[in-house]
Amino acid sequence: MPKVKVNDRTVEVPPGTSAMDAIFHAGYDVPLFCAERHLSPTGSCRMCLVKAGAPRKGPDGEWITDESGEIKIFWFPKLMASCTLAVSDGMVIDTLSDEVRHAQSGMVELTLANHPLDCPTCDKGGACDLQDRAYEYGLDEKFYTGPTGEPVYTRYEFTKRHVDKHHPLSEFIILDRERCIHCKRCVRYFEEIPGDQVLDFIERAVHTFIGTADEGLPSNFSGNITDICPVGALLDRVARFRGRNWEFEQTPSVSVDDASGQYIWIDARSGRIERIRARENPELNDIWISDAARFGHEWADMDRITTPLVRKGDALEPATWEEALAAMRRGLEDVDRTRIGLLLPGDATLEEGMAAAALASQFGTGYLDFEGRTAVPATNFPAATFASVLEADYILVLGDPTEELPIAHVWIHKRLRGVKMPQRLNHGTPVADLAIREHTPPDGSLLGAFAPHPTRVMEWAASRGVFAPGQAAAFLAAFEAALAGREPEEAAGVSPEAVKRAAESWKSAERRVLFVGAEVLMDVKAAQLAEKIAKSQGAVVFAMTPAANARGLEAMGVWPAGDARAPRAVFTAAEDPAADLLEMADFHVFHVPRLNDKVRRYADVVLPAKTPYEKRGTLLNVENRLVGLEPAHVRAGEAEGLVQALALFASAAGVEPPLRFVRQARARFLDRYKVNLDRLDPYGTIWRPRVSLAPRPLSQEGNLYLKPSMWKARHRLGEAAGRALGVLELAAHPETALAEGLDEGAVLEVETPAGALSARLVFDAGLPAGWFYLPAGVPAMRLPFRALVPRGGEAS
Amino acid sequence: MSEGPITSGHDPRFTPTLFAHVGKPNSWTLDYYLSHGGYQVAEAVLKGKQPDEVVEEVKKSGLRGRGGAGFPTGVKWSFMPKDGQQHYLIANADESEPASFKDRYIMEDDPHQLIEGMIIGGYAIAATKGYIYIRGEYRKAYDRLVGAIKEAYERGYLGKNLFGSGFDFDLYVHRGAGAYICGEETALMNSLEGLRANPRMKPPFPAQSGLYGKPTTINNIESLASVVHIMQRGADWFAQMGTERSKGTKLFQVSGPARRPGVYELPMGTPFRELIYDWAGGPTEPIKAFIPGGSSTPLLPFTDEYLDLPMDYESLVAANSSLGTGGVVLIPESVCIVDAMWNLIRFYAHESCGKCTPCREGVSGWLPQLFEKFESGKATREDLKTMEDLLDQIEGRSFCPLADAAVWPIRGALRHFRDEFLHHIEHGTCAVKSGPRWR
Amino acid sequence: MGFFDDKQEWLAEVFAQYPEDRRRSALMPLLRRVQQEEGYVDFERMKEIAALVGTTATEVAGVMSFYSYYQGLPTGKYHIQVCRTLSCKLAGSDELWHTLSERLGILPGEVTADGRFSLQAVECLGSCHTGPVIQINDEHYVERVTKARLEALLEGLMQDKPLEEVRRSLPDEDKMGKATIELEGGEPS
Repeated sequence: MPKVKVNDRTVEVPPGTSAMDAIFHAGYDVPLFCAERHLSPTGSCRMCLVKAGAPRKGPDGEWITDESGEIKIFWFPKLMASCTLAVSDGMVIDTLSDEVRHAQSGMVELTLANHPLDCPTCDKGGACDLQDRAYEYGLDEKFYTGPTGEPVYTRYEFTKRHVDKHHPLSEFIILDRERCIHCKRCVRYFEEIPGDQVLDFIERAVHTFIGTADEGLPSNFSGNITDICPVGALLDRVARFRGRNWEFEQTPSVSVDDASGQYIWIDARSGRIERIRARENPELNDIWISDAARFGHEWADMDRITTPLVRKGDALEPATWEEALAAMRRGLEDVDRTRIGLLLPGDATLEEGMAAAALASQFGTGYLDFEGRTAVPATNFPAATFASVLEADYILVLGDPTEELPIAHVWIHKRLRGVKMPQRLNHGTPVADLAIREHTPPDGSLLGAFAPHPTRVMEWAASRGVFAPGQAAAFLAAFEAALAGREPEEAAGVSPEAVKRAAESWKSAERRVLFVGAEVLMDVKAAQLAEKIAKSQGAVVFAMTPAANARGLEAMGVWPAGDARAPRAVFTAAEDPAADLLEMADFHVFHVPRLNDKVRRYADVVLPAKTPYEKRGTLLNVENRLVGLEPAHVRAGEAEGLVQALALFASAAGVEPPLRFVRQARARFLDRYKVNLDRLDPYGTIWRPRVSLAPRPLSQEGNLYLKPSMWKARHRLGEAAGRALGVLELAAHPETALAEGLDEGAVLEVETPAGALSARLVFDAGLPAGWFYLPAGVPAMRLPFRALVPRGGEAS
Repeated sequence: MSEGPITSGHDPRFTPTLFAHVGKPNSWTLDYYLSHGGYQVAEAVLKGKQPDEVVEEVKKSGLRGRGGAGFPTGVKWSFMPKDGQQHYLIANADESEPASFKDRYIMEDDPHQLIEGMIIGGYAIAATKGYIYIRGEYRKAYDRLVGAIKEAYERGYLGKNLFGSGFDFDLYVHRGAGAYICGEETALMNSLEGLRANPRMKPPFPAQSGLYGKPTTINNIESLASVVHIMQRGADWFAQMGTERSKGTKLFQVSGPARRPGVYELPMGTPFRELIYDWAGGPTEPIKAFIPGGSSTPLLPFTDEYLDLPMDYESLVAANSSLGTGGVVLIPESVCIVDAMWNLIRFYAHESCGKCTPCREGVSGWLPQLFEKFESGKATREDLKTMEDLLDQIEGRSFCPLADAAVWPIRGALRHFRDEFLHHIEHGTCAVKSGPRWR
Repeated sequence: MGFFDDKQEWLAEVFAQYPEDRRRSALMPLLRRVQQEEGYVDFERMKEIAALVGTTATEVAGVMSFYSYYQGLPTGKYHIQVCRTLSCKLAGSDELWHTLSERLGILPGEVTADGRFSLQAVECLGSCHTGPVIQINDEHYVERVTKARLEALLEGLMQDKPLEEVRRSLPDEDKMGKATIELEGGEPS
């Protein structure tokens, strides 16, 4: 490994390391604005100029020496941007000399030349790279003196550039063009990370500004630019003016918005969540999170239930916990405990799952289930890690990762761009990784993508196709036939050529990764075929479950037993249980953070619940990675955790609660599995539980298809998210819609298990005929299409 | 005059080659070209020489890139890997440096010369595809090139299996759209790829990863045309012209108030005086300064000392300037140097791509503001110091040489005509009174 | 109807110049075609081009705004581009510019009421020896635009004669477009 001398310290770094990372690795500092982890170095801000030189070898292969016999250092004639300079053996780097400091102070002066310096009213204040670097490296008296030696404080005796200061790019992001220092992180980010080129520089020279011609920044990952903007140019509009950086209580937690468990910071102030930011996890989400994880938090601060509620006639009335306990006792008095159903939300933690499973077995009930459960357990599939995507020779996607497991979209794109797992240096992820190249288009030959509707990743894939909903098994059968060398005849609407091409790529690959979405997991036959293909071919699988903690809950045994009888009483911590379950039972206890129509209609007792932002607990993500939730300080009255609520429910039912506290669950977990949930590895701990559960088919019929969406119903409650997402879109092939007498733009009330939803009809000729697609509810559910047209819009 | 190297256009041993046919009726047609020995060199090379021999011959000739930087062409070619990948040869016809207009006439009047040079160059570096990146404004040159390429394809001088040698060469023309930065080779490649023309990081150099990530060589039009004559007459013929390290024949340009402004082909090392007086007919009004090699080269006083300088790379570096593209501009006494520099800095301010801080904020933002202060009579001595500080902070610190190119002419002006800047500070007006110049 | 719908053959020719997986390279030729025929590139055209070359409208806007040739606002039938860089300045391009601007009564970005003219100051056109130089639309240069030649040019354009014909009929046109031109008057000193 090349040895590099940084000032007085010599370090060894891997070949190809940038001088900048060698400097950090050696424990020295160098200022920067444009370099950013995981983005291509571009050398544009020139802030990181250093003096550098290297020895040379003579024709004899020996180092050239100077007069004194020392190895001679040939200095570069100019100062070099350390982010774009690769180290070589024997390189010498100077970051401390006057020459270097003079240049750096000059770059600060130039960077600030057109910057408004409005820090007092800027949301970035206190957490701003430009502020910090200006203090550390700017205006040095040594270099800025007037004619008589007096210090010069400013030379900006001209009018600064005045441009748009409050330019909303979307409902989520606002741009201040005066503050922009043109580091291009945001533009490179969109091109290189999600591959959605929705932001670019417009104009050139000093007139260059950031802009978009794609309204609303259509991307599932737009918010990350607010984290990486080194100044206050790109700001989280949802959190705008909600607090100064030093006022936030910052809680490291994980997102439960999908099954990846993206690492987040929850920034709360005065008992409210004001902002979510990405938290670095190089094995899981790097420094990126989906927009749903970032901007989908508003519901947690809206209309919370702060005390228990007990039904009095038609109304639910506030009550004490004792009154709630008494009401539960009364309601459960005559109920056979084996006829009590327990329903958890899909983001219930391992600890909560353990408590629920223990209680269910104490009750002797088989009715134990969770929201978003798939027909086939995710744990049937050998889990893949995200890092393995970068090693894959072929990736086959059956589903829509961009919506079902957003961070997977980023990993797939990285793989197609040829990005490798970065080295870890003393300071962590390299800041200027020279292995990442700007303008590298994705290599589609590594990807096959198939789904019941067009998806974003399909746009990259060399082999792709759309099959009709419910045809995943037929598609997989065709794929299997192609693998066996047989001509695929009928490929469920997908061209046989695409199937063959994908099968050939799959066969010739050594390392294969398979993504299966809800469409496969909800269909027992398709899932079994996929499992067989994966296992026989040694592929690893991402089972993109709708539930955030599906693997964890399955591992804890939260799964309906074979002989479950219809429950007479139901305890549900799921906010939106199926109506037929509620109809079956006579007594309903809800443990939820908010009221909704179902709660109002069915609940006999309501216990105030914590949202996932307020919990301590553990999830087992799609990779079999244990990741920990930590509670942020959110004002939520008397809200209690699910373990406590279950314990109370157990007492009401007259049994000794098997677990009362999260820490008891953790102790039992340690005892049983030898994993300490209090001491997870910083990036999560891989844990491979042995689980054996039988498939439980779900009823699937009708021509309304619930399409996966990153945005869940609860996100839509938020003001910003609600505005950004607008009305739900019901999509159909034009012929299908017109055959039903519906024209484009018609506003309909569509019946779903979550009640009637208002949606606007859009035509999409890329969809299979005969189907209506609605991005709502449990993904891949097929239901009878029943809709009302409230006003106008029928086809003539 | 018959001994030693040729360093004057008057030397009887010198005859123009690059510009031998420029200005002749129908010189741009294939028939004309063929009737003057056209494509015979390419045929001889493709049939009789190995690619390495071509590279060696060009190295030996001492030809240095005519786009301004003066990097040896043969050495540049030798960087191309021997890897069987698709290679590209790009002719840089983005001639956008103010005071340069030589390549334009090769393309307008002798396009087949360029095509032949590209065939030979492509053969030498194993590039089967070539692009001519031509600045968008050169419509006439574009029309002539497209016509010439069409003719060449029709008669088998482009396409598959040229001259039965088994070598294929396809050639396309890509038009720019008004951006000086596209003359920078990596910006040019970005532009050709349909991107904003910001320069790319080097390394990787184009020979490793250039256009579409493939090994690529980018040469100036004049360089490529020179190759035809080097391969025809031999490296020695080329090397006997010019000085020790600046060889061959070169196109020089004269603009500003001269009697016969235009392009002149002369041996390297010809003195400025010969170019300006003997060939361009001398000035039409009193001159105080001249730009020696295109707008980015530091200007020099119009004195005997500088007029006697030989036009070669080394002599100009020694005079704190540069040969650049060989574009000479005469600046009359009646024109204020500050005003002339403001014109140039405004050019660079307009053409900065905006990628890096010193160029965007310094060249494009701050320097013009300072010049405006000088122009409006509000500048102080502090402003002059600020300007000089700023030049220090810009020069050598930008991402690509565009910012340096903006700094150099001001450096020259401050070195030789500082008093005109001081006059602005002290009197708030130009040191000279300029009258109308439009006729 | 899309601008390129009836230009499929031309499109195929353009795309054939570049590798199959590099359609993006055709971005500039496509922008130029729209600019040539419509005088500017509006948002709908940007979207159309984006779809054709496989990128977003944002990227098209970014590229388009980088180059000075493409216009985002409508231009006149004759879009007059006046070179203002040093050699042309020394030949009087500042005065030429002001004369044109006053005569036509427009500033950059404006179009004369009759829709005929718009003006743009541009940087060095590479015809430094024949300054001042102007370029109209995407046509061959009009060089050495003296007062007399400008009069003749404007007169011809006002009559909407074909540009090439107007240019050819300008006084002294036979001396233009040469690598070297000889000026009247002024003896070598």
